[in-house]
Amino acid sequence: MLIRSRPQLVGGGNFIFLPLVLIAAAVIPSPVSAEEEEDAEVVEIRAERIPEVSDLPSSLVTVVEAEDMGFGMVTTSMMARAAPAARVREFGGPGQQVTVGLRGAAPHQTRVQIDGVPLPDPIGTGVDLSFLPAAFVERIEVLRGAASIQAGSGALGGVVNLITPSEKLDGFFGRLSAGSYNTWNTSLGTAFQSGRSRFLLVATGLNSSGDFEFMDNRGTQYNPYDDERRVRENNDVLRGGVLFKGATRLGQGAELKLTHQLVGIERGVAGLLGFTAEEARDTAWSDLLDLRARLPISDASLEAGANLLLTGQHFEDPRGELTGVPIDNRQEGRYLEAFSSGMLPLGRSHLLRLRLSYRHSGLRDEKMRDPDRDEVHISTGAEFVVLSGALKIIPAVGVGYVSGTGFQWAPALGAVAEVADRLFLRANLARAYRVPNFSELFLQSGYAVGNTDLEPESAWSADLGIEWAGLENWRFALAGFYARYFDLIVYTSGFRYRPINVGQAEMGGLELEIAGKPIEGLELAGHYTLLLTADRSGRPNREGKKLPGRPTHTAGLRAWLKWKRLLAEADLYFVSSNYVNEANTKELSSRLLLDAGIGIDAGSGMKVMLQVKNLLDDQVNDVRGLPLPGISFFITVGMTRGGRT
Amino acid sequence: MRFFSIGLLACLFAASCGQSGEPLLGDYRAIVANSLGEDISLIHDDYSVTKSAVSVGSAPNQIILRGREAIVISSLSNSIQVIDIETWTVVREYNVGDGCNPYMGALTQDDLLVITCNQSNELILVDPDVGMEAEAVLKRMDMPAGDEMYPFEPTNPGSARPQGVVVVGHRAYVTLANLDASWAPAGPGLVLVVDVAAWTKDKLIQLSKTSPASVYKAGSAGEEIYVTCPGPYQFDGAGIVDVISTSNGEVDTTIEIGGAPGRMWIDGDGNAWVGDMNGGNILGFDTVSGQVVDPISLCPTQDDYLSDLATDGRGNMFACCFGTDAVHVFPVGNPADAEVLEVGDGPVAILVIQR
Repeated sequence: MLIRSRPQLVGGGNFIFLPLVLIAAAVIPSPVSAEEEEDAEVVEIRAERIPEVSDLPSSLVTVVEAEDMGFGMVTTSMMARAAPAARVREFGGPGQQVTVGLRGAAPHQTRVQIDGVPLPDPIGTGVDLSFLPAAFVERIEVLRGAASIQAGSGALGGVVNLITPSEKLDGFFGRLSAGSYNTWNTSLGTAFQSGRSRFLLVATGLNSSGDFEFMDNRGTQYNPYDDERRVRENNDVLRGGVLFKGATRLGQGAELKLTHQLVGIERGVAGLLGFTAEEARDTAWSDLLDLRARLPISDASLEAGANLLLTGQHFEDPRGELTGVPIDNRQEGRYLEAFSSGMLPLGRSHLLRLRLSYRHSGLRDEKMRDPDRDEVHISTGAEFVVLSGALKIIPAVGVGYVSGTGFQWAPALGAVAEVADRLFLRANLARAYRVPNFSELFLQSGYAVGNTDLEPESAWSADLGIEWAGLENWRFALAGFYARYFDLIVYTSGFRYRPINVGQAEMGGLELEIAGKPIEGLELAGHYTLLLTADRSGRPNREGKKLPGRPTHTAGLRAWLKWKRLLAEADLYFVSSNYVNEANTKELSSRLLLDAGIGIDAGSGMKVMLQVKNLLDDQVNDVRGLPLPGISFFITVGMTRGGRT
Repeated sequence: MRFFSIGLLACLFAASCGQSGEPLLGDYRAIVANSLGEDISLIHDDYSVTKSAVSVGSAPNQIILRGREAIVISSLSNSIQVIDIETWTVVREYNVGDGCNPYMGALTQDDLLVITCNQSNELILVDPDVGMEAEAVLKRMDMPAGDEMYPFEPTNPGSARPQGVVVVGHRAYVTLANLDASWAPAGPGLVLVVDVAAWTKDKLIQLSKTSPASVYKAGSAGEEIYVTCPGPYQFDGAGIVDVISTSNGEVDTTIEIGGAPGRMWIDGDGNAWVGDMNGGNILGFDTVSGQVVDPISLCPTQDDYLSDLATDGRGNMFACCFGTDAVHVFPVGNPADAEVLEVGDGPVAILVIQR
């Protein structure tokens, strides 16, 4: 894990902002000089973003690199939980649902993106990280706090941005993991160059029966006699995916990139304990096509692109095991986004940024009467360097128009100061909003009904962080934050389930990160989060209580060692107890997970790793009623041929 | 998730206490089950409240008083808790079967429990006296299905979705919501008559409106039962109460009470009081004349509903507002003088001690 600051912005020149249609003209190939041919050798296959308006240099960001997660079987959710403030919740073992929320925000209040493309969450359950293979993720940028200046709606707690692989390999790589619960996870990839273009192709597959054993108390907390050891059934998963990336130089520094990602998953839906299912299945797929162009013009920078995301899901419970009635529900989503953004240096020290995006979201779902929505978002920001470069002030504002909801605004003010050598202070104040999702607005399903009168939720948040990299090979970061949520959309429980804007909440806490290399070959990374939450709905039994599902303490410590040919790694993760209901009358126990692995670097690009996951056999649930696996074992074999270009 | 309190049983219990001269329930006026708090609140004689007196299962739906014990039916944990009402501790707890979703229950002549399983479409017979190591569910009965449910569309029959149950003599009367996969009515509202002793289905009674909710008995020997029928969600505001004669098993009278009638209480003067599931109103009618009284607005906030109510035999009514975690206590018919008591999260059922 690395603790990184934002890219530093330099340069001067003219600023140009063009709508997408003009960009299309700008990326037409032009004759290539010999010098440009040489440049083509270093075209990078990465969806590296230019610094966006929302990526305030003052933002508190944690970058989790896949290569720092060790060599064993890694999941996207393991990467996400390596960042402070990330509350990752597991719903049921390999390939089953995993969600992430930041700084106490719920998963549906946390924006999840892949290469900057927002992933949809039409029914408000949060983006499922298990749908995103780790083989498709080179690193995760976790931007904590209000970040919707760029992101638009949905980033009350922050943004989790998954970045697809960017290794500049000439060759191929492969990895195969196998282990408990008949789990197989494989990935194969190749990268090569052809003329001025580079290509990357990755294919991945996961299979697991997910049939782990667990202790079921059968819903009777006072009765030990009926407790029984059971096997989790209908918990299998089969997932496959292909990622294709291409990039080409167009001359004059212009670059065109294409990403195509296809993922499909078919899995059992085991259900809540007490209401389990043997035949309920969930089949889903997504197809993402992302095209973008970058054009440097003098010292200014311009990027434009479009992406189309198609999704499909088929959920069936033919025997009505989960709810008592058979379900055969199909849902298809279409999400089209076009954007254009640019940076204009203002003199030698200052900078202006602007971003415009349009997004169309459409859903085919009978229960919601096929809703759709259009969003236009404009954001602008500037950077002013003052006090001889010691202080950078960053004002920014985003304005969004969402059909059916109207205008929303997201102002922000940030500051960065280098108060001593390699000692930085960062501060931010921002407002974020989330417009109601389709389910909250339009769902018509039995006693659960939507509410078309809903207003967007909003949150004001502030944070102050200090980052120090004064010691060789070490980095420290400490931040405090506070956020107040307004007009929270809360489902009225009881006879009917209907969302209304009645909730308010406060969140605050501390985030600590440490990463370093104490000795040659050994790397350490740790984080701790103190999260304090308070329900401010004013409702009796809830006012002042902690929000459910939010642990006060979360911590992680990761160590990995490479000594000669020996590889070793350990990962410790702790989540303190947390309540399951708003009245704070029942809670889940704390979890302590320890993974450990040992392996060898056999040379010639080949590595082998043996892993024990959940070595302490801690089977405390992360979500009530959904058991998780205990101790499990995996072996991973991998090979890389070729190297970085 | 609603249910009603077993006031008559409380009455009988109180009478037995009086005979012993030692009121087991001390100074308690009422016991409240909190659906979201998953616990029990106690209302004392001076209207003070003990919150979280005991933790119960998930989504408790009903409290039944049985001798020195209170039985709580917890729907989402498929469990029932047997609570010692002197120590307020759970002394026994039973799982009633995966997928059951126990909804409401009633005591039989043999002091056993019949419980509706709303999700698994069953009626079960439970012995709440057996040790926890033993199986408490004695018998299970599948509810009618398919053509038996008089489907509006023969190719799309609904599920029974049993909800309320009341026992009169050796018979149990079970309301069947008869819903399709989207929880819309798939056929008429029904009441299934079960011979508890023989454990057989006797008869299906068609009701005047779809989606029946609760069922209550009236008369010294249970000559009549009352079935509240709010109709399908979203409610049309034209709810009814069907009155069924237990002597012939037919609907005798239909009372157009309006609103979305849910749980009901019949006081000692023969007045029926009904909670409105579509708002915080108390609906009511005279069980003798059938005359409907004007709704009484009680729960103060939008999207709240009146989850349960009962009177105490001393001229006071206790009514639960689910969304505001409140029990309003007031002279019957005069909510303006209400004492508003804060109880646990989501009060869904109240058992008022009759003295």
